[in-house]
Amino acid sequence: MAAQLADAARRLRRAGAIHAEVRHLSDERRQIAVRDGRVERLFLARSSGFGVRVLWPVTGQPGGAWGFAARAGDDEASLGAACDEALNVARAAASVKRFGPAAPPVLLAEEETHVGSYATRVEIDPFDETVASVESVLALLDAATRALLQHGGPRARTASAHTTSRRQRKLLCTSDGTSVDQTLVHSGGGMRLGVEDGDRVAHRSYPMDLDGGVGAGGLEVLNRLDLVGNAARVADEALSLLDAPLCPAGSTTVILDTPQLALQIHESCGHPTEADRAFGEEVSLAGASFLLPERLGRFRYGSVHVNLTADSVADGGLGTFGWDDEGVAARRTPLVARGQHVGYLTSRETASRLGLPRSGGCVRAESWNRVPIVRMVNVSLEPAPNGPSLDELIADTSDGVLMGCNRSWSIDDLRLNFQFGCEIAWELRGGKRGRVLRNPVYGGITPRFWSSCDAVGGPADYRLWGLWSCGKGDPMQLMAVGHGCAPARFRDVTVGAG
Amino acid sequence: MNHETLLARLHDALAGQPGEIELSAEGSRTGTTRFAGGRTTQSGDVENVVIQARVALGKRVGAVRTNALSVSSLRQAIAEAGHLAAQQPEGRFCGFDDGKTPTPVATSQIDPALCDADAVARAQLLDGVLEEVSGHGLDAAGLVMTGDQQLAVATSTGCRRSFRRTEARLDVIAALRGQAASDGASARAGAMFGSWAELAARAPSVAADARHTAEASRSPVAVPPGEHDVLLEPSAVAEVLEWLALIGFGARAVEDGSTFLSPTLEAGRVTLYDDPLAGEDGCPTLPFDAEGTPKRRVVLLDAGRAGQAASDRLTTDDASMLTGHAASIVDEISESGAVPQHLHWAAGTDEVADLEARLGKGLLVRRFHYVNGLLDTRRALMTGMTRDGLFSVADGKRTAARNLRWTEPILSAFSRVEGVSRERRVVSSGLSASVFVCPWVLIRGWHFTS
Repeated sequence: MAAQLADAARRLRRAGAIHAEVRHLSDERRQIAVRDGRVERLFLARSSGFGVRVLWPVTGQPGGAWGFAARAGDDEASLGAACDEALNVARAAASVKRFGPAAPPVLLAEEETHVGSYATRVEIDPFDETVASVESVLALLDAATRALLQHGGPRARTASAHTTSRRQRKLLCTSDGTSVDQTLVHSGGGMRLGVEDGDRVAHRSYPMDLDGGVGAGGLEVLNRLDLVGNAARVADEALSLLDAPLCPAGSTTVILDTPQLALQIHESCGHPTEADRAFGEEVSLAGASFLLPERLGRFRYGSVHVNLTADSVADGGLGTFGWDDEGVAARRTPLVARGQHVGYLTSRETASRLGLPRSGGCVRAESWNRVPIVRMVNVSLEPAPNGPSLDELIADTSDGVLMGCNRSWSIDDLRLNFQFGCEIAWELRGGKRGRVLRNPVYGGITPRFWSSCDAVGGPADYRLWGLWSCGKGDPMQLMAVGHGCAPARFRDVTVGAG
Repeated sequence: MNHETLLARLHDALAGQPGEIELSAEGSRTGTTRFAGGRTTQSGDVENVVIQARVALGKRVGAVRTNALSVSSLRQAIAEAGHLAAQQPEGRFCGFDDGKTPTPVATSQIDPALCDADAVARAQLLDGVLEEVSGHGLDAAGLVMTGDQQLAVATSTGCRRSFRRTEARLDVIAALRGQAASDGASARAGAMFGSWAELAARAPSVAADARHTAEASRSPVAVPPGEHDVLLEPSAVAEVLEWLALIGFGARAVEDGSTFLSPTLEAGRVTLYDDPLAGEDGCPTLPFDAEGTPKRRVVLLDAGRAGQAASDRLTTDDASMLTGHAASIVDEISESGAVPQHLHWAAGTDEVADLEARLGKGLLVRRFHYVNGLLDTRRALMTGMTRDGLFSVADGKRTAARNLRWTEPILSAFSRVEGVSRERRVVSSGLSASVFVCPWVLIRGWHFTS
């Protein structure tokens, strides 16, 4: 099929397009979820089709306007229909009047031609029934929920466990000769126990709520979580929340453990460094960014301990691949260096607008039927080379709160004013972890918060987390992204109880 | 492929297949043009059909989704779904729809002009929108979308239902150049339309609404956090309703105890209902859900008291309890279960202008941003930000205000509702296929935190 795609890209170029990308994608997903001894969700989903993006010249100006079309299927007719419609859409987009200096036609940063293939390393193929049968996975999830209920005892109300696996095969050919073939496999899962005592309810999830623990790979990602082996601890923590005091309100030192810090990075670092948001192109739905382009290299984002990197070559990440959906090779790009804002997540278009020589390779589409847009890859907080472990960080904290995994999240449209709630927190007194605190929340303003970071943990406690469902775009696209971090400490943070 | 052809394909695939089978299909053709900074940024045209085959072996149900439409592909999906069903233990399931209940009458909104509207038509429409906003020195952003959706469900037990609808959406955000949105210097206006003619006729007024509100947002003042009386516009109300639907109005939330619905619930006199059939105030209609279950009006909150929760065939053993709320097979957000997707806040008797007068000293909120309702679901405790138009109102005069964060137990806030408008607007979700029919609502003592 690669030859067909390459031929189609060349035809689009000959038809007058400045640039063309022709993509075929086959998408497979398996979801299994159990709750309280019953199968709650069990399905296999397959989808395939062509997505074609064309840059058509704007009359009288350098650059062009994008048009995108997608058609289901694997055949020549569907490919032809997608190409024809993409041309029509791009011509129409190029005809719209432009208003003001902020409306330049699209120019693309240079990218060398790539030809090659990439595949996620998979130990246990989740789509191979001989090694990952539905029955065996159901048995694992069922055992996890039974263990949660058993350890939860009479106050256990509901237990659930879930797993999802996804495989995408992407073929991309561009009019400048790039031809890449990628197979990406992501897997993972998690579990949750809800407990109840009179009017009071609580829950704990493992390893984190919503998506659980997800990474690049096969069923081995789920197996490594050892759901059953963690059930007793999860149940104990859930039960302890029923009797715990509310998190006291005030300003204090906060240590964020990695399941929470990953989401903090996602919302307050990942999204604001998306270059399309910085240019205001997502303002109609998701919002914009306080990291305006004129602030690049001049804005203090955080303390000297804060080093954030966009990394699409990290081993095992959901944002790891060979090339992005524009055919730009995977790479590492500093976003924040010693607290200074130094980079963006970019496309070829936004890199050109920023005056950068190359794209950061951060463009992806959810599937064949969505337009490629700037997305996070693995946006991670670099561990301090000789940084402390979580226990050492706690021992070094005389008074404060340790926040566990996330329960709620909210941030404004510029990614400044945030509030997070966590499932659990622990009081820190005299360098020791004390009593459990219920319904903890904390909030702040992004650059002030990151400027209050006075310690980042070392490599020993570094973990690369994954999120399946980062929402962006209109129509909404859900994207798999990664966030690596070790625990970090922040001073003078506003905390309280939700 | 139209909805009738789609249904015929499902019928053909079912023919001669043994066992209990359901085929559910959702097809769409969607044209979208997004714009920002005075130009188009993305324009696309997408066609797809998703078909879900489910096979029940007793109370064991397996499901396989595909977008391959041939009869042989669908039969392969049926076979695989049967294989998945065979590998699981007995669960809870009340059978596939038998088609005996007639398909309810729902205004079928099919506009041929909307079906024909292509990228050129969208581009021409946008010229006017950009002229109205960007031509007056503001930045314009937003989207124009046209959609043609086809639904079909066929079961081995006799259900044969299909439906088609067209709709359009226009969202316009106008922002003062050089001023950050969170300073309050932006405004959004948007609407859903049943026909291209209506969209074309109203696009200038939507753009003008956004422009005028943005111009009124110049030099916003800081309002101190604390309790403020608020007049919530329909877009703000819709964000709250969407989270209520997600955390409390589904059968699973009732079962696992996380819902706020309980016999002791008291939430003022607020009435919320799901009505996919009546087309009130131009609400898009839907006669059946993805399982073929006929839709009906369901009261979820009845004058502040708990009503019925939304259910589907995997959340109840009793077919008589079905409400027709199986999630769309293409809606990944709602895969956690049945939720109401046509939520209405019952219309009040107040005029909007009277509500603003009765607000006295308070805040007029056009829109919320990034609401989250997971803080404490039993109290429906939510947090969020204001966005795209916050005004301090005093003595009948509006002054632009800087955006604020709020945290509010919503059910408690419902007991402080002092006025609900007669006029309502249809608001579409940014997250899912849900739509909301919402009035302006006057609430005393809303808690702003920072």
